[in-house]
Amino acid sequence: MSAAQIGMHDTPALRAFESWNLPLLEVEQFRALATDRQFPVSQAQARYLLQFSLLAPSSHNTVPQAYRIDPEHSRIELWLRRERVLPASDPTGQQALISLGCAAENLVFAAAQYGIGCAWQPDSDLDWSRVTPAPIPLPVRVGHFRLTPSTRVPGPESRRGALLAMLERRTLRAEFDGAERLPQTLRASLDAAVGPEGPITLSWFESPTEKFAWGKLDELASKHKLEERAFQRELGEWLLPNEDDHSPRGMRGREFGFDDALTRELSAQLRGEAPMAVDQLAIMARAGRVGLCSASAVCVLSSHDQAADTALAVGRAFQRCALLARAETFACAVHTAVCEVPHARAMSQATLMPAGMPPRMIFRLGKPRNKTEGSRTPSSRPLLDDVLLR
Amino acid sequence: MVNTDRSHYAWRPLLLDATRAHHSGQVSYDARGTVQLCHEDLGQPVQIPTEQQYPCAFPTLLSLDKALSNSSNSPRMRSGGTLREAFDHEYQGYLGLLSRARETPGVWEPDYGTYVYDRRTGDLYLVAPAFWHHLALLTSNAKLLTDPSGVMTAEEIRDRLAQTVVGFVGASLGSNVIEGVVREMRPRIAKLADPDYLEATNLNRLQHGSLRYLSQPRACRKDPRNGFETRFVSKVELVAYENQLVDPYMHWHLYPEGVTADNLDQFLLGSGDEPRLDYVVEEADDVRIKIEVRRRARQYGIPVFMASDLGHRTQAQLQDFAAQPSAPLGFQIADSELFARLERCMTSGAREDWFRLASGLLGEEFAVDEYKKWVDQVGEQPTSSVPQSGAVAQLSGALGGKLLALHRLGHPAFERVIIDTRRLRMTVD
Repeated sequence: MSAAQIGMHDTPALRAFESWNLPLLEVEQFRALATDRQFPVSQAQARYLLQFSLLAPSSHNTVPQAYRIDPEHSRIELWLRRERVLPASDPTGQQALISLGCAAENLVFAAAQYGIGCAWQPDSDLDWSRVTPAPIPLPVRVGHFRLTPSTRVPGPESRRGALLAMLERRTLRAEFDGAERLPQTLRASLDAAVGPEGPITLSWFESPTEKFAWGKLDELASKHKLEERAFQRELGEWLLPNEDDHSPRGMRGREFGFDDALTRELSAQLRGEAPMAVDQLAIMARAGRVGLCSASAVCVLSSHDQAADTALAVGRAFQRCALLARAETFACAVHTAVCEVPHARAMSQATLMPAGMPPRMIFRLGKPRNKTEGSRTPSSRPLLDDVLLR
Repeated sequence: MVNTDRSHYAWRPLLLDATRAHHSGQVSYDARGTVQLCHEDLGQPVQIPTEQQYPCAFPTLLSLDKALSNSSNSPRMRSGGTLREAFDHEYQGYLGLLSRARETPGVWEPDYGTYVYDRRTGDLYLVAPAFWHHLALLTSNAKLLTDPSGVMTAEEIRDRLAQTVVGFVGASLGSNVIEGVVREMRPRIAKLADPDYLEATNLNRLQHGSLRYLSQPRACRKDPRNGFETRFVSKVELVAYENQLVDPYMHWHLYPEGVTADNLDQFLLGSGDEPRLDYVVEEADDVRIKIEVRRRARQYGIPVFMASDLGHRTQAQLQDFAAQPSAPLGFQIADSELFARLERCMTSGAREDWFRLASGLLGEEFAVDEYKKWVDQVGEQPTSSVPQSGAVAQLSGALGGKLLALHRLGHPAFERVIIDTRRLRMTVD
């Protein structure tokens, strides 16, 4: 069953969106792909699972990951393309690593649906110096998944729900319906998914006062960041016209709710090619506050462990939350500014976070206020062959 | 509907009746005049040196003595006598108490008035009883405010205004309207909602804003040396607190989370000891809240006042939903169009959609002169937020206080009043 068959008519029938048109295979159909079994999964099965990995969200939709299938060692390697790390938005590479964590989680989650164990092992030499932006093509391996057959195969309904969650998940940069409350069961399952004993902590902020405090800080941090010329230019370059039907990466204006004219105008303004109204950046920053205040919950993933592989773990934890929320028809949006602006991060750590935990990822959960926003078109993706290393 | 006592907040001055406080030992003076104050809210007894004691009752009555008239036109009280006669009786009694206290060893203050303990600073005030304290705050207004037919007595007017309950949504420009309302009407109860904290850039227009409130004291930090640990000050708390240092008898019901879909009914209709509003003053930043406040206020028949500082112009609008329950929510625009503009504004991200929505609330052509230049991006523009003139904010507050007081006394409401300070021109719709 393909995305089109399950009613996802919001996906344009274009090559740049082809990745979303992924059939949902039954276990028997998946097993039938095993024509060359010399590896716990065949090449065809590995490719199928990696298609789900590719659907994970990434910073500015840069899709900075690459994969290498290594049948000899029964593993799939995950690589970071440092030329895709955003110099202005993500100078440390943290957002790129979080993006890779999201991709990793989708792979693990998809494999589990077909009874394949997929154990993640970060490379021991992974450190921050290896993930900073690089101007030339420079793939860096960050770790690998060891694939093993597993006896446990989820039932068809559970599998279908899990796979659909990956297909239907969208980063929804829209105002949410503030009247929607997060079910306690969903909250509990997210807490359990992050794991109370692990290095990562999930903190919840649900009162109007708390959400406003995060919203205001996000507005301050976003405005600060937006005032940086290099950041503006980079954002403008990654903000694509809605008519762009070929770019496999980048964000189209419609993903933010912008119409064609505004997208073109804003992109040009951000790139410095057209004059910008004095309040334009403030309007953009303010949208973040509106979003956070409208959420059912503001969630913060934090960790005292500042190691690079923890950023990957944060990405995995986030994606688990996003998929669980999606299964309960809750959408999410990520707000990176507070984490990426050092003084805002320090302020949040000192005044908003429990026990002074450093925030690593901030996102909000909710349902769109305007129901039609829930079916915004997804962001484009490269084809799998374009991100496979030989 | 949530029933929360919103009149208590960290800085709420503590009031103790002086007579009871002396007799119960809650307030006692040692030989050097240091007060020991005991109260269950404070935990341990508090020592207050004379440097932090402010006896205000005598200066209050002294001032009233100078201001109140004993002429044949002195306002007549319901009790039969004149206001001046009532004051003379009070004042003579107080002066006698003061003299006896002076002559009695160990007595520092007579059994008179109310102690007001400022928990924020540790200062202790002793103020005149509520009636005389309020009278002092209003005496200079004389009888400038009257009902349209001129039949109400000064006492009746004062009572009617005092019993008015106004709810303020938004404390920046709103603090100016608060100032106008309390100076003109001196209500006993008010409500204030705003989720925001004071910023330095608010200081050109926020009444009572000052360096005291840009940050909480260092002692509030978990790590006193962490410069990033700025603990901000809630606007509603600072405005209520400062107002209670003018009128400690006034009750403020605070909504530091702002008004939300969940608490708006309580804000408008009250709950428990919190009364229903007679007016909403809507000065919110959040456009959804602006319109939702109007929608529900209309549903419940509560008039909505909004003052806007639009460059050199102030614009006041009073939507009397009590008298006109089917009046539109916006200014001369159908509700459907206003809601359509709201949704467009909230989803498109386009700057011009914000101005379209603003014109739905304010009327077309709301931007003129330098303000229009900001809207149109002509010339140098230093600020990324809407320009707000501090002087016009004050004028907006003055207009708000005056118009609400007049309306409360039965004068007709104008749909819109514009005062253009640059052209010295007024327009009334």
